[in-house]
Amino acid sequence: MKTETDTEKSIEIDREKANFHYDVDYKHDAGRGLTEDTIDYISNIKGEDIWVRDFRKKALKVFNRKEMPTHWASQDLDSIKFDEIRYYLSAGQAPKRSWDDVPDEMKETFERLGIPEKERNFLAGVEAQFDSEAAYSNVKDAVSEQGVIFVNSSEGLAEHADIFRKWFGKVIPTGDNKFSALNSAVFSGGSFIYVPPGVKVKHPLQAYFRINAEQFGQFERTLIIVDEGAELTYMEGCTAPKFETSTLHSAVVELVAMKDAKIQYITVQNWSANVFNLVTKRGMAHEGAEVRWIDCNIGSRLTMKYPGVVMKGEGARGEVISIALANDGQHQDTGAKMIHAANNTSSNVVSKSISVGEGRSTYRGHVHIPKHLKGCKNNTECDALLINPRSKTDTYPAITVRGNQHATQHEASVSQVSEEQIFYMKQRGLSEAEAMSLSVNGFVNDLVREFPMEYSVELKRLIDLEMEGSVG
Amino acid sequence: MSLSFSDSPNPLSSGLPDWYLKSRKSAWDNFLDTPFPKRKDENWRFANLKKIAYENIKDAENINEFDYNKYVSESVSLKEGNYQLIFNNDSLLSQSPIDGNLTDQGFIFKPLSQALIDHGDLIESHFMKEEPRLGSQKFYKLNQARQKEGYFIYVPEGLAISEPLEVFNWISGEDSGIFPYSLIISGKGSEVSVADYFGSSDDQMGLVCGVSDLIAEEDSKLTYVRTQNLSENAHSIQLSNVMSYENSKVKNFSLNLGCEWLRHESVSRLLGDGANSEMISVSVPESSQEFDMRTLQLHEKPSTSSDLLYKNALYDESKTTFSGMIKVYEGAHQTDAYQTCRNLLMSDKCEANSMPGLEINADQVKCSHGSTSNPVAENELFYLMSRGIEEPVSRQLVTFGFVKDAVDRLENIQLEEVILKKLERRFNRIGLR
Repeated sequence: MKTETDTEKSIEIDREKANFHYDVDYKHDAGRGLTEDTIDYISNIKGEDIWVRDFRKKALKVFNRKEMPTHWASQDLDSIKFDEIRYYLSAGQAPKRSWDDVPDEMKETFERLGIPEKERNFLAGVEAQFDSEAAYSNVKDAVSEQGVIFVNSSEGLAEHADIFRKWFGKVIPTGDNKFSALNSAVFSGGSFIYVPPGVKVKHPLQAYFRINAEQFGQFERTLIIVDEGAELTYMEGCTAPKFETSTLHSAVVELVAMKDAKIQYITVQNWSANVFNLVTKRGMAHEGAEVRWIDCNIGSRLTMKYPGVVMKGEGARGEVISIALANDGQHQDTGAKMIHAANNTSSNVVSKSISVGEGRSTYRGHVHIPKHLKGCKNNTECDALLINPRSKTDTYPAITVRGNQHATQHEASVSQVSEEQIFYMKQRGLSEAEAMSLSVNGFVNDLVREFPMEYSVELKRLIDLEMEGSVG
Repeated sequence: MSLSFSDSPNPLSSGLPDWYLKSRKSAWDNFLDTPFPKRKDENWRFANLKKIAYENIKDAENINEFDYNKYVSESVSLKEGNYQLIFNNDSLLSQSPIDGNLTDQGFIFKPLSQALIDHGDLIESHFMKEEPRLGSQKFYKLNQARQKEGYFIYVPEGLAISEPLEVFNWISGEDSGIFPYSLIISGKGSEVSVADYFGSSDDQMGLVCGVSDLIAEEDSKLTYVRTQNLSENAHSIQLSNVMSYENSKVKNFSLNLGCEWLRHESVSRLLGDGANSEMISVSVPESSQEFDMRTLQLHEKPSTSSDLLYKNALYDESKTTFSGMIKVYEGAHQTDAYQTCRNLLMSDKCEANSMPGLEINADQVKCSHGSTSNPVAENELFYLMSRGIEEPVSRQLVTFGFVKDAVDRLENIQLEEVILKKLERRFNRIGLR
């Protein structure tokens, strides 16, 4: 049996560990700025079908037309310079199936981050994306024998169009928001997963996203379809080195859970503090299906992410569990969107945020229950913890309920670590910093337990790191 | 969409201070320049902008003598001898004489038009200083531009007015608009309570667009109750501002029964150590009434507290929108702020929108908000029914209890009684369901 220390070592990822980058000879570089030519460049390299090219170009028009959502969101969005961003960078097309074939610079990157080890230890399959394209992708034989497809988005569109085209852009339409339109125009990389009926994937599938280049935009696109009665857990991790100038990450993630299927999607985001992380994530749950988003946001300059579930079939369930930690110069603007579109659907949102130093964390929620339905339930809980005198937190939920056959409740509270707690622990020999860390870990503990064990260990470590120097 | 009026504001009678006439005139230009609220404005999220496309509203006209007697007799005081003002269509009908002993001490309770002449300077230093923060700039300017009546209350230092002061506001006539302004100042260590009633004398479409400024100086206690029972075709826009200074206690209560559509914006500013503000509201909309309520609790200084409770019982196809925000300013530590919105859903076609919000920029604070939207709980019905009370009666009892809980917060028997009476009448009209 492995001890916890072994586990901890094998998944060790921390902020400093991720802060390195390599000079890579990019074979393909779409240059700076975004025009129709950029799209042709990407489409040509990928050798895409005409419908994909058209899809992208239409999306570009929508992107240009749509206003920045600064009438409700952070003004900081205006500091993204779309003309200076590089929209496509890759060293080559096909992802390597064997670790030995991965180019040395990338291999080193991922080895420092512990990717192949992770695969050996816990995972059924892994995909690692380096800037625009997957550098490495592998699925354990046992899983592919069950008929599970786990490929990157280009490969999915090219080789499994029959499966993926039906749902591609259907859960999150291009025009959903400005950044989903941007992603639809220049997407590259990301995972396409199909789990056939009745297949319960035992171990999690994992993707790892790494930005290596400066002033670069990563736009991965993920589509996961879990067929009737099947089950899947998917985990993603994200890092980038610290650069002086800002970098943009704008993903679109669509989940489709067919009748009685279950999807659990776990994210641990630890981008460096120069990254704009503007992500659209939504799942569609058919009859009796369940979609759970488990989301942890620790890094980035500005994260805007509101995972949603559209409960389309009777008895569907949606859940968002999220932890956010905002440190100096960071704004974690996260939340959840629950759209009830069938009878007897239920949703649950539990959000905990911690603001340290001058960090700001925001919860934004939307719950919608229309009147022709019966028996819908929503529960929302938001708790915020403020560590320092200038820490900030906001809550902006919106709840619409029509008809008297539903029940919703929303609660939010703001608190701080009590002096009594700290005093109690100091009395027992802990330093103030240790006591503070322990309290913060206690605050999120009931949520951390929802994460798979290896992630919860990592999370605790990340929280300890962030808490360093926040007291005294 | 637009907001236009069939005429420009009437000039006012002479004798009013210059500053007032000037401010009124520039407000009209300002009104014309201010854009109409747009669908994308966050402050108008979930709002039905079609409702406010007024084309024909005009200043309400004076009434004849026959009506005069009718209004005065219908304006029944809580208790004989309470000081009262009665208005119809922004004109004064009746005014109680004030005890000379009180006026000698500096107590003022006068219609606005008269108070402007007698106490112009005192009013000027507090008059409409708070620009609206919740989206209704256009209506704020509209009120200022077409304002001709209202009232001014000033309670001097240390004086306690034991009985509630009462103001009756009637509106009549098709497309009549009234634009009342009220200014209430409770001086240092003073105490006062005010009941402000709004009612229609007919079932015409009419618009009440009012602004009120409540200023509670150090150690004072100010209770303000506004009941609105306008016609079911009327519209009401009410913009209220509370400023609460050191150790003052303000209660701002609002009961809404009438109106086809209403929008109320209520802002409480907590400006000194120990300041406390309670914001309470009860609404019982039915048929297709739409109530849109937005609130702001601003904790600008440390060691202040506020508590908001908004309760809506929704019947038929009615719709409510509640948007509340608690803002704790940087450095405003030791803030205690609560905000609760509860919707009781009484039909399968009603709609409740809730947007409870928090913006906290300081630590060492206690803040929480809660919002629920539920039908009458089965176990509560079961409890009553198991004691032999029929289901529709049980349902009404539970609903009455639900709203009464908010009324109890007033802690003033006279005021509670008048509100409960109005609620009883409302529930009788709705009947057993």
